[in-house]
Amino acid sequence: MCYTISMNVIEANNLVKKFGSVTALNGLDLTVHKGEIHGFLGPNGAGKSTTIRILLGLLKKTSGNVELFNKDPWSEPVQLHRKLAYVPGEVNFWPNLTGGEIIDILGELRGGLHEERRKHLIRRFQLDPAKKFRTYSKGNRQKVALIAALASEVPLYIMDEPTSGLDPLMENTFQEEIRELKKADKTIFLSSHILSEVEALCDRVTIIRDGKTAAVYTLAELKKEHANLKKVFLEEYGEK
Amino acid sequence: MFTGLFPLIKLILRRDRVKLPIWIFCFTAFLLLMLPLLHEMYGDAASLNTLFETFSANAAGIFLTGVMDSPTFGALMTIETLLWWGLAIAFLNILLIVRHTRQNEEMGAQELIQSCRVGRSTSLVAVLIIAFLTNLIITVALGIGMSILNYDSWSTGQAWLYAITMGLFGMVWAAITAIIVQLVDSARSAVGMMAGILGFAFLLRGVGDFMGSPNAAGIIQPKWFSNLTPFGWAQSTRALTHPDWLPILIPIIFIIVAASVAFFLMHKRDVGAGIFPSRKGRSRASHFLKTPVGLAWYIQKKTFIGWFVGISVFIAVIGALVSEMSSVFDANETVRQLIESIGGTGALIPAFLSTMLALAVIAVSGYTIQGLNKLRSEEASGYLENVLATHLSRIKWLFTHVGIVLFCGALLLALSGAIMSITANIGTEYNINVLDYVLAALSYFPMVLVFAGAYVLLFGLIPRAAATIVWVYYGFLAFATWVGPMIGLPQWIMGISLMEHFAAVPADNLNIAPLIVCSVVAIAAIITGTITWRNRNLTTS
Repeated sequence: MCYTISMNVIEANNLVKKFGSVTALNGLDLTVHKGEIHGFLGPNGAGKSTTIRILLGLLKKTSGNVELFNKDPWSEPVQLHRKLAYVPGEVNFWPNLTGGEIIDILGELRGGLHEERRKHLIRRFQLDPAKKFRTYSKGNRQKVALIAALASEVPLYIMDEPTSGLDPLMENTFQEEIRELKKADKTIFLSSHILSEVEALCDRVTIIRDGKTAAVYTLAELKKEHANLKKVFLEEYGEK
Repeated sequence: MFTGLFPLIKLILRRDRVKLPIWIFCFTAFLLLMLPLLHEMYGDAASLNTLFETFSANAAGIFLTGVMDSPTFGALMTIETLLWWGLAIAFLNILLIVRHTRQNEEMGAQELIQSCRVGRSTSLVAVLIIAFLTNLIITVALGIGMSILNYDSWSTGQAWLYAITMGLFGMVWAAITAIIVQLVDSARSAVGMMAGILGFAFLLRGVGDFMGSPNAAGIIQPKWFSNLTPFGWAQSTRALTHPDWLPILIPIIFIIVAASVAFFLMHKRDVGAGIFPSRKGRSRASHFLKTPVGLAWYIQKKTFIGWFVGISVFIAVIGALVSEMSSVFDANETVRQLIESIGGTGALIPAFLSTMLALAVIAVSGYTIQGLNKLRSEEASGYLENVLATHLSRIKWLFTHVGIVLFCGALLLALSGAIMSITANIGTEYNINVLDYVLAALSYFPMVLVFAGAYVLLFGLIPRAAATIVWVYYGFLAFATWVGPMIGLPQWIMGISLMEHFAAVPADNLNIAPLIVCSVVAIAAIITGTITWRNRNLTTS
């Protein structure tokens, strides 16, 4: 077996995850290059969140290979987590802490917040940091998680449907911030259902279906071969 | 108000289709079981007479059980069951109401329900009807059971009066809970507040009973403030001894008034909010809050403070009772002889306090379980996922919480010993060595450690069942300690309870062996639990 240190930030080969008799991932292949914005798409229940949880060391893989920065996320989560920031799909935080406190806590646990960025992001996303978490609307809860992640200085951002619930103005703000990150050579792994967002931001896209990699496209390929992502998605993964 | 009532009732029944029947069955079965057990042990006239003498003398016992009116089996049954099963039925009703009102709102389910063809207050009507039916079923079961198993000590009418008293008592607490859920802004606060009210009511009744004096017929009447509490109302029917049907009017009127207040308040507020508006918080986190210990402490704070206040108050009152006890002993010749025969007041006070210390230890163990259960609730609610995605390791997170809970547990133990002995010393000529009691209390730490070990072990292996299993064993231990000796539980069953193996310090001499065994086993359990936790998937509910 050949041992190479890859330039891939995330690498998964034939990743399998079973929960008892249910197979959530059935041989997923995934490659995310350094410095790219990588989209992760698939129908509901295809295994996207499961994949992300394995990358975060929250779930233990059943078989196959998965590496983040050439390390195993299950056995070395603490070091790896210094290098990443996570935006969850379902935003659940302690209800009586304020948005500002939550951002600070997560920032500190990640190794430090960038003060200027924190201020900048809170202003741009128009969040009131003094309100208790349970009094925020759905979109504002999302913003808390986003700002907490974007305010850290890390090489990798893993985002699970980060903009669900954000209004179009905030969606725009999000895209601008992501482009800024890319300029700074950060890597972003973005799982999303918002096809326009994926088309606008991503360099490459992995499509997952039934726990397996169905296709990997670069956006250039996509534009050449198909009219747009929606067409690809609906045609190939809609009802036959 | 009644639109959509039947579907809502069916919904509640469906959601609780396993829970409710089990609770009702266990409650009734265990209560009725006391009848043959107690009768076996103390049914004969001689035993009853001795008990009557002892209980009348032991004023502190009255604080916990209420007055034994007469040397009859009915009186014995009352003091052994009315208050304790009363607490149980109160909890049953409280949890039922909170679950289907506040908790619904928190889950967001209430919003969905309210958007359908449902009246504004229909859900409250639905849950109160369920509570009523539950209490009714219990009443009927008890009435029938106690009529049959009456050991010729009371009439059928009396049996039904007891049953109705119990059922009404439960309904009273349902009504109070219905009000409280309108006022606070979370399910947890509601339960916490109800526990506080329940505890306060019990305490007030306890002090009232304790300070009571005999009336013309020689029966001790509690002081008036006992009758301000639902416990007092339940006791005043004296169902199994000198039955009086009139007092049942008090809970009935109370229930009607309280329920009306609850509906009034409900109309005044929004779904999901309490009447008191939420305040804003700080926009920056303090330095301490940002550290793993600080965050864990924030999560653990409320639990600790609740138990701290409850235990401190309870222990302080117990200690204060000691000074009252001596005057009772002096007044009664028979009692004084009895006491002198077992070693005099010099021996009696430590014996009494050691027993109370054991109860305090049980309370601290309860705190330990509830505190450690945060491990599971943080995981199940999804809050932990965010934290574990940072560079805080699983093991460090676990140990931070376990460390805080164990430290606080030890603190509560020491405090119990200290408060008890200090308050016993005030106003009496006893000069109890405070340090003795603090050390005695701390010597029970291995028991607390065992509960911690059990929880952590189960948290690593079967997290979803951890809380249930540990609480069930805890319930057994509390029951065996408190009621066990009274109903003559066989030694092998008592042996399952940890408390049996601990000496009643400081009155008895310390027994080192169980302490060592418990500590070793507990530490092994914690280590195993930690390893399995590290190796399992993170699961939400």
